[in-house]
Amino acid sequence: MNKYIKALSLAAVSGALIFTGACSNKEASNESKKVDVASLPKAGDFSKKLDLNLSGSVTRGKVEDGNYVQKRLEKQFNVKIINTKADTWNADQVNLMVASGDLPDTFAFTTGGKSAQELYDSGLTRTIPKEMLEKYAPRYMKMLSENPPGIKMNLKEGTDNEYLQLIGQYAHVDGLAWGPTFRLDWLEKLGIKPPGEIKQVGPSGGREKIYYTEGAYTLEEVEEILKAFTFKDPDGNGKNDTYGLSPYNNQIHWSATLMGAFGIAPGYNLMEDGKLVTTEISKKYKDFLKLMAKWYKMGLIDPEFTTLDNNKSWEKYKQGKIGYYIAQPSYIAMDDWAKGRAPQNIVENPNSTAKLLATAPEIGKDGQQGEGAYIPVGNLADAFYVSKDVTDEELARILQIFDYINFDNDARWTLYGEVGVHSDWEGTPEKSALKVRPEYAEQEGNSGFWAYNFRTYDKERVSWFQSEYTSKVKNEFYAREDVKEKMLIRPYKWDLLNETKLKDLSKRYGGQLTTIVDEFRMKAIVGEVDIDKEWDKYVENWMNNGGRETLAELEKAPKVSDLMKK
Amino acid sequence: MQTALQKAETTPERKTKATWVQMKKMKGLYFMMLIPMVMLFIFHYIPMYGILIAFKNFSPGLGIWDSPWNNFEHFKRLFSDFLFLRALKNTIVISLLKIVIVFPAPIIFAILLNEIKNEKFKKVTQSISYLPHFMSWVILSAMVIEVFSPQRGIINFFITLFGGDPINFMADKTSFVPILILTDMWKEIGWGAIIYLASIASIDPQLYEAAEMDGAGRFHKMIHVTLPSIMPMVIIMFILRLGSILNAGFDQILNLYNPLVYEVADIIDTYVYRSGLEQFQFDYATAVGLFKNVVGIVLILTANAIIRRKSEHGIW
Repeated sequence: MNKYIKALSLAAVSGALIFTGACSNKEASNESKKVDVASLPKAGDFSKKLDLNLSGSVTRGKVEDGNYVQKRLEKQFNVKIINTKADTWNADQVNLMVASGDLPDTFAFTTGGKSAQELYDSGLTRTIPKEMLEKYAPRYMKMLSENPPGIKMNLKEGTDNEYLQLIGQYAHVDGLAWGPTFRLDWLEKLGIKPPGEIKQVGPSGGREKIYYTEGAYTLEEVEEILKAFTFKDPDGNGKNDTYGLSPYNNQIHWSATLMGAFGIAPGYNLMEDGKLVTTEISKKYKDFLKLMAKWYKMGLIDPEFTTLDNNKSWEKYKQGKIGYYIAQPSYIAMDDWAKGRAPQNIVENPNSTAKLLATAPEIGKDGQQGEGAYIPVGNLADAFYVSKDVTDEELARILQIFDYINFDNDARWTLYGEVGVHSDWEGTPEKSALKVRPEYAEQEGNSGFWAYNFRTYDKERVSWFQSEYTSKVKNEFYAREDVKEKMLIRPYKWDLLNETKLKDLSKRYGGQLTTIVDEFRMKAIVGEVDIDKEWDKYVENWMNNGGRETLAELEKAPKVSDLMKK
Repeated sequence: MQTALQKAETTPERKTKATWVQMKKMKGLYFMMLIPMVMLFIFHYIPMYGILIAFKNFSPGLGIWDSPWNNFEHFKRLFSDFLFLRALKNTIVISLLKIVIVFPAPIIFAILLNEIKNEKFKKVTQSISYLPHFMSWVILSAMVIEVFSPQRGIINFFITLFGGDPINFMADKTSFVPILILTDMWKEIGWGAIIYLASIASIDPQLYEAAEMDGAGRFHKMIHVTLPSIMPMVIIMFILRLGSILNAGFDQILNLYNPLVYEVADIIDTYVYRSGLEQFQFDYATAVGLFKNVVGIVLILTANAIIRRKSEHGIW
């Protein structure tokens, strides 16, 4: 009987192997064919009806069939749209879609996925000929040419006219993404003067309790303020229960401007003593860590930060025990999407007596001031892909839809419907954000708003979703040209044009390098390691675990200053 | 002494015929068994084909079969990475501690629960002990972090009440692993006891009566009747638990740990999650999974063989 069971098991496993082997895709190929653009229909010729399987890039798979935007697009471009009901924010779902190769005609995932090169090498995407873009997506090409080196980005290796992906314009992250804030009511109680002229962010809704200034404190002044916040009972409850600063353990944003005061930005690289180094092994970073360790030892940093992620940290801030917190301009302008986030959550309650002051980034000992640019080079980011099964004829139609909904601002209806019918201005018309009426789905659903669009925004588009208060503080300070020029820190080198093997190295060593850096940073701040004594060992460890290869490859990348030249 | 007729009756041909007759009689039952077997084949055997990607550079467009072989590159990477080796050590330490401390807890709990005479109290206790099992570690971790908080936690409240300095337990290497063990025990003790309670319920009451007649008290009945009666179940559960020795509690640790305790708490699953799955390396993650499974099956087979040699219990 045992023999039979063994034979049966063997047959079962062999059967499974043969069955699944037969199901594998043996036809995958990443050879691109020459496209005869002249033989394709003229731009605007939609005489032939096409079926297209489209997806958006910030979508959660909630789109309903037959929605408002779908119907209008179908009519305008003579297509039948098949909706993709996938949550592009869900990394597992996205990864599964990619791993199975079951992808829509176009896709741009919010999370997960693979790089353009990996997707192409895997035979999942096709290239997009420059000639077709010039013919069918002229607005997109104009945007690329206005944002150098956009035209040169994402080209297939060895070509100058075939793109692996399309890219978006990120005007919404223009300028300083973060700035420090202080509890203004505490400063007033402690008799500490703001560093410059202060202005109210807005007249009501809690904004009247938030102020901002172009002035900045020096690091020494910040230390004195944090000391006063910690030890001089700023909340007046008679207890020693307040802290100057509360970082969080899952991200490094909390240190954006503090690191900026040392002239460094996390994840970037710089020249130090004539050598190319990454921030995390630079002497400046060591100095930053030493300052944080000093502040921790002095008791200025909330010791609980080691167990708090950013969400829990926001909750903790709301309890009114922390005096300093980092914030984006939209937070201090109290934009809807930022509700609940620190530090604005402290003034959300109408009865709150708290007041906030947003200042310019702290000034370091050599006058350094600023933070890492949100995008290392220029303001182009993100990726829009076209699936390998899309024909040239389909691509021609897709590009025309893409160009219209993402780069023609008459297509505002694809995001907000018609103003006065589907949405209304929040404040001053054309100067404030648009709000979709409650009877329509804000995104996807029955309206189909945002369901087919890509994350690309010029300044006008940004104004549709950014409150007028955010626009105001950005125009007056955070995104002012001279402020950007002076305060944005960029890496020394960056592989913008995919000329090196850095992506492969990051995939291979990223996990271990991040672990080494995170572990040392935490231990250094809480005083578990002596930074001076352990530093060389830490750097050596970093080097020996993929850092050396990473730096050697980074040497091959172009200088950012060269890439930025117009 | 067998007669010639008896010998003829037990020839293989007659045996096969008898088996077929039996099976024909019970064809309804065999048909019912076919359904789970097909399910097992589809969902547990066919996916095994995917193990191949542990030995390949997996490319979704090429599929499993056509992706190129990579000369055991993922395994070489595993054993050349000191952080993986540290994670392997942590996994084994935490898992062994859980086996030594957490594994016996439901057994003791079930035996003690069995001794409660007040049925209402017994049921309430049982229900309360099940509750944490139904909550995910996302929720439980928030509760655990609050309980051990240096500022709001009840434990630190008492420490400071008696003049001590608050301790950040969750960021302390020495206290983190004991917290893992205790909270795991708290979460699973009630649920884990169900199987032993069921086993206790099936003990023949005559055994207790006989023990009573021999003058055994409650404690002696517990030790000499209840425990030996549930021992086969304990052994099976122990062997199965050994098989998952390289699963030290991914959800629990992911939700509770932080870089300060990586040194003692970063296990294989959390490390691979950060370095493999988050970066879309399904092939690498499969290699790790395969390694874990091989260790698991070797342990199961070894433990089973040892136990079979010493007693009549075991899985096979």
